[in-house]
Amino acid sequence: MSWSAASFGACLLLFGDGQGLSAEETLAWQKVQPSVVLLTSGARTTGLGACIDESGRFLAHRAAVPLPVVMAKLSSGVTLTLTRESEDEVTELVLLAVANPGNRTFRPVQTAKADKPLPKSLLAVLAAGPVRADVAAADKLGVVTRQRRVLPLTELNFEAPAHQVAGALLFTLDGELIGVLNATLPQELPSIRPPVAKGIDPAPAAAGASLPALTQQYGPGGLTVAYSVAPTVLERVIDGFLSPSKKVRHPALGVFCKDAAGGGAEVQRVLPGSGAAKAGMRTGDTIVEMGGIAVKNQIDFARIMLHQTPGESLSVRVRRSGKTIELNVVVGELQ
Amino acid sequence: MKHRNEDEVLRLAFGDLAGEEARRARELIERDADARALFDEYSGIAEGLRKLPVAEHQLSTERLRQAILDRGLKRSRVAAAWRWIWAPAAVAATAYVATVILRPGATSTVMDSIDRPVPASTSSAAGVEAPKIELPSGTDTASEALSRPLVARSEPEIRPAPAPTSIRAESAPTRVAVRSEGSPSRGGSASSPALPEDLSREIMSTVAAAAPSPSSPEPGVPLVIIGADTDSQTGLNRATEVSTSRNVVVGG
Repeated sequence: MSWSAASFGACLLLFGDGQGLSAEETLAWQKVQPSVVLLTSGARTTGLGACIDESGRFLAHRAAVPLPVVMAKLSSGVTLTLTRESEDEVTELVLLAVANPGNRTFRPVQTAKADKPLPKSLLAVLAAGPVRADVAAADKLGVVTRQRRVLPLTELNFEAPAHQVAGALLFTLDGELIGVLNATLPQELPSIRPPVAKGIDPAPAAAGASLPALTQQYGPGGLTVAYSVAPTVLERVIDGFLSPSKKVRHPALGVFCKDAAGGGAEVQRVLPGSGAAKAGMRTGDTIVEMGGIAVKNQIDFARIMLHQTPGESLSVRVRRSGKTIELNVVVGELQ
Repeated sequence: MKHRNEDEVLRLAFGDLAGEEARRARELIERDADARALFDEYSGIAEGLRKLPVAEHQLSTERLRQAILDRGLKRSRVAAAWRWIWAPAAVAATAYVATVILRPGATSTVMDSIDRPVPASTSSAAGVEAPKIELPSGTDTASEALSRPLVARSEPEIRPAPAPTSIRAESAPTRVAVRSEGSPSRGGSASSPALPEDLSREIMSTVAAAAPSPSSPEPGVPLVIIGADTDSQTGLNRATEVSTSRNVVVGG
C-alpha cells in the first residue's frame, strides 16, 4: 500500500508486455492499456481507473480514490487530474471526471454484455501490471452489510501480493471490462523470517520500496480470493453514471426481510414513505409471491428485486394473519 | 533392595505415588540406606527435569499436556451425575420452541425461473413516480450496529480457501475465511447511508431472537457477507463466507 508512485508507474510501464501472460492475455492487455489510468494520491499509488466515455470519465473503486481529487497517469505518460463526480454506495464504485480535458479525447473501454457467459479465465489488472485471474464462481450472492443489499458476485482467484489488489480492474480476454474488485477474503498465512546472511543488507534495493524486508511468506502465499460485482450490476452502475443524473438507480420496495419459518420472506421493517408503505405492507407480513413468482425465502425476494425497474408496479402477495393479500407496490429507488 | 522397592522409590521421587503406597515407600527410605541414596539420586534427576528450559516452540505442547493431566484425567464422577439436572430445562425449551415460535405456514412451491426477469404486473405506470427510498444517515453507533454479524445463532462456518493449483500446493494452505467484527475503519464511512439506530437494534434483536426453524422448507443458500471494514492487507472490503442465509436480514 505504500509503494511510491514512481515505482508503481515504472512497474505499470514495464509490465506493459505482460510478463508471464499468454499471447492472448498479452493482446488483451495491450488492447485495454490505453483506457486504463494509474491513480495516485500524493506520493502513493492507490489503484486503477477505467475510462468509460470519450469525454474523460473514469470508473474506479472507492478504495482507489481516497480524496475528492486524485492524479491519474495514462500509459502514454500523460498526467491528468480527476475529480470525484458521483459514487454508488451499494457497490462502492466511483465516477471520476477529468478536470482538465482540453481538446483531448479518451478511449473508453468496452464493457462486457451482462447476458454473456462468464469465461473461466480473466485478466486482472493491478497497479503493478496484469495477472491471470481464475473465475472460481460466477453465481455467488453477497450481502453488503451497510445497506443489507444483496448483490450477485463473481469470485476470483489470482496470485498477487495482497497490497497490490486494491482498485484492480477485471477484463475478459476480448478486452472487455467485466468487473472491479470490491472485497477480499482475509488471508491467514504463516509468515517465517528467512535467514539473513551476515553482512548482507536485507533492505530491498528498489528505490522507494518500503515493503517489509525481513518477512517472507512461504508455501502457497499470494493467492488472493476476491469478489467483484457481477456484470449485470456493473452494467447498471455504468449506465447510471453516464445518465444525466449520474446516479445509479437500485430498485427497492423499502422493506427489510428475513426468511420466514413457514416459507417466504418475513417483513421486519417497512421504511416510511416507501412504495411498500404506500401499498399497505406491514411489519410481520410474509411475502410469498412477487410478480407471479413464488418467494421461498428472503434471498428469493432479493433476487427478484434485482430485476426490477424503479417506477414500475409490482404485484406482491403477502400472508397476514393466515390470509393472503395482494398488494400493488410501485418500485422505488434506493438513494 | 528388591526391584519392586526400587520401582516404588523411583515413582515416589517423581511424585507418582500417593496414599498408602507413598507411606510405605517413605518407611522404606527411612530404614534402608540404599533406598534413601537411590531416592536422593532420583529426586535430583526429577528436580533437574522440572527446571529444564522448554524451547519456545514446545511451550504450547507442554501446557496442553499439563492441562490434560490437570483437568482431563481428573473428572469427578459427581460432576458427571450433575449434568442431568439440565435435562428438564432442555425439554422445556424444546417444548417452547415447538409451541410458540413455529407457526403453521403455507408450503412453498418450487421456483424454477427465479433468475429470469420478473415482469411487472402492470405496465410502467405512466405518471407514477418511483418513490425515493432514502436510508437516513445514521450515527456512528448505527454503523457499528450494522457492522455486527448478520447471522445469529449459528456460528459462521470457516471455509478453507481453495487450494492453489500450483506446484507449491503441497504446502498445506492455511488461508481461512474469518469473521471480522471490527468497526468500520474507512474514513469515508461516516458519509455512507446507514440504517437508523432503532432500526438496526430492531433488526439485530429480531435476528437474535429467531431460531433456525426445523420446519423451514429451505436450508438457505451460501452467502458472502461484505463487511463495512477494510482488510488491512488488500485495502478492500473484508468478505466473509457463511454457509446459510438463514436469519440474514436483507433489504430491498
